[in-house]
Amino acid sequence: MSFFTIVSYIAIVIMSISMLLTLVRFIKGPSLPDRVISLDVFSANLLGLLAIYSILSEQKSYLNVALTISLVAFVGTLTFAYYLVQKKNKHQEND
Amino acid sequence: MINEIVSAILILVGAIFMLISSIGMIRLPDFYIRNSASTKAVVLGVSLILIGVGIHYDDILIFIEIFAILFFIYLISPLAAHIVSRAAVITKVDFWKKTKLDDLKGYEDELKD
Repeated sequence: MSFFTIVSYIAIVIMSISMLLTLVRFIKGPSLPDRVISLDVFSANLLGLLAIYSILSEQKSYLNVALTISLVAFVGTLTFAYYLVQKKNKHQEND
Repeated sequence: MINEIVSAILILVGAIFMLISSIGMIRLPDFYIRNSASTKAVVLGVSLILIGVGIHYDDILIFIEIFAILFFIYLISPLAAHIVSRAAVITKVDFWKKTKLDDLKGYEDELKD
């Protein structure tokens, strides 16, 4: 077990703890935008985890998965924000 | 050997930045302040980790791919933070009680679009 492998495992443990903390905010969050940005942080953690895992498993194609995740997370955030604004507008028209 | 040491230090510092941003997500009092923590620290942490991975592989094709990921993240992250914050202002998410601002007082009509 080399020096680099030990450091990679430590980094994976740290990022798993940070994903758990993000999930606590996702469950607790008082409003919907809180949950949206906590999902954003969660997907960024997942991206870093995949990058480290691609070193440990020596499979370079995991970096392509990381690229796709960064795009899909942005589309998810954008869709939730658009949905919030549209819901508010429709609510105002009904009043 | 020097490659491995530099790459290990970059990955470890990046992971610690991700942990700091998650602690900020838990501890900070308000949605808008949490949004600041979740944007800046996450971008710094992810870019440090990806640069560390690229230094470890030492391959120009991997560097091009990592440059693409970093380009998208730098493009996307401020944009997403702005859009979500704007939606939160429109749907009237509460501010922290110590935040005192009324800069948007005259612009309620323009926010409806």
